[in-house]
Amino acid sequence: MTSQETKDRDDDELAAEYALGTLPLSERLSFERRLLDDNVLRKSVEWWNTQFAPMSDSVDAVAPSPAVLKRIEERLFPEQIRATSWLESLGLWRGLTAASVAGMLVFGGLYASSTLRQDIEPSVFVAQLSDINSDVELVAYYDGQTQTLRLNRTSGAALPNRSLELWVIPTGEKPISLGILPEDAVHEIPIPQELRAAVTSQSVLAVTDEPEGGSPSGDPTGPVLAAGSITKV
Amino acid sequence: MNTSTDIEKLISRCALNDRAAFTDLYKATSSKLFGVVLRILKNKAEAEEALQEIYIKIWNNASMFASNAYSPMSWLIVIARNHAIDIVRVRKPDTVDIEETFDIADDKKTPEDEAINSSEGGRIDNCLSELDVNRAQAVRQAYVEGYSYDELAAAFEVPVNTMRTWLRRSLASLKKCLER
Repeated sequence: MTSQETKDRDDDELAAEYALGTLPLSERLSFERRLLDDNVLRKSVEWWNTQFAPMSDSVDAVAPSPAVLKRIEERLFPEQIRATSWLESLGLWRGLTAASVAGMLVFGGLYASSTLRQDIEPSVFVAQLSDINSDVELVAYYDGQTQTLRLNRTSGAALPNRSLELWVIPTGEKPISLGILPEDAVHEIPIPQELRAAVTSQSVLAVTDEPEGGSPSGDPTGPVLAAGSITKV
Repeated sequence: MNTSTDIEKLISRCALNDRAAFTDLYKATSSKLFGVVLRILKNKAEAEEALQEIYIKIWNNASMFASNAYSPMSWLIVIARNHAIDIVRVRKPDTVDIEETFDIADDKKTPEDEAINSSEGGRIDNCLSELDVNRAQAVRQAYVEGYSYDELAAAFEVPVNTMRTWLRRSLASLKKCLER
């Protein structure tokens, strides 16, 4: 077998593992990066996905609650909705989970109609971070107007002589450190210009256990204690 | 009843910003996608959050549907599974102990399940039946339950590296059979 043939075979195995879903996180993320500009690899993934798809026939359909469609439509077709800093001014944010915040937005009538066009409104994102294997939980709230990420740690803490480090993981990219979480439960992180594009609803926020002072390598080294997708509100 | 062609039409109309088509597409397919995602995430609230993101991706990417080789239902399922797998891999990237024993996937189908499925006569079932029973089951569980190598290794009581070797060999055998 030529080295090209060996590489093709290895790539096809990776494509199969990726399509099946078993690739471990770091390999999955680097594979997704390669997929962006490798047509052969993409074809390979498509082939495997097509072959695997009939396995989902055995999965029972389950109706989601009716509120889900309403929430999707509110997000996709918001008409002229303006999100302002009402969330904090009402003092409602502390202690709320992202899910209940989203619920309030839709059902509490807190969205104010406005003539302000949507494309110039500042972005507001929330994320709820948790993990079943850890008691660390946070709610994150990003205000595009002030470019500040507010964190409220609702449960859990760093282990003795260890630190909690916060990361943003854009889809298909390496985690980017947003710094160490202080002992204070509520903490604000100004997001520098170069990282603003990373804080979007395509990204995940995660907290890892790291040596005191943070990961020495610049990449996460410890287990993920809490993670959650960023949701635009 | 929605045929594959109906779903394809709805997706193309979504690509043209037809909101009513989006609602119809959601009504026709959301139970299937929710079932798939719920099976992987194993938490209703999380699965409903994920379903929102999935349909937003579907709406935003509807114009790209025509450029790939998937059947309409396969395309939707790929989007849903990818999203759910991303979540579980981020959530549990490290070794975890699995104490429960896993139920063998139930292959019984109700008429409703038959109404909307992705297969256009896929050969995967036949090819899986040529594998050793445990190995075929590992492939199915990885796909349906979204299990990681750690979880599969725990379920089949083998070291994680052995599990990966097993699975890669199974995939190579499957490939040969599928290409026959």
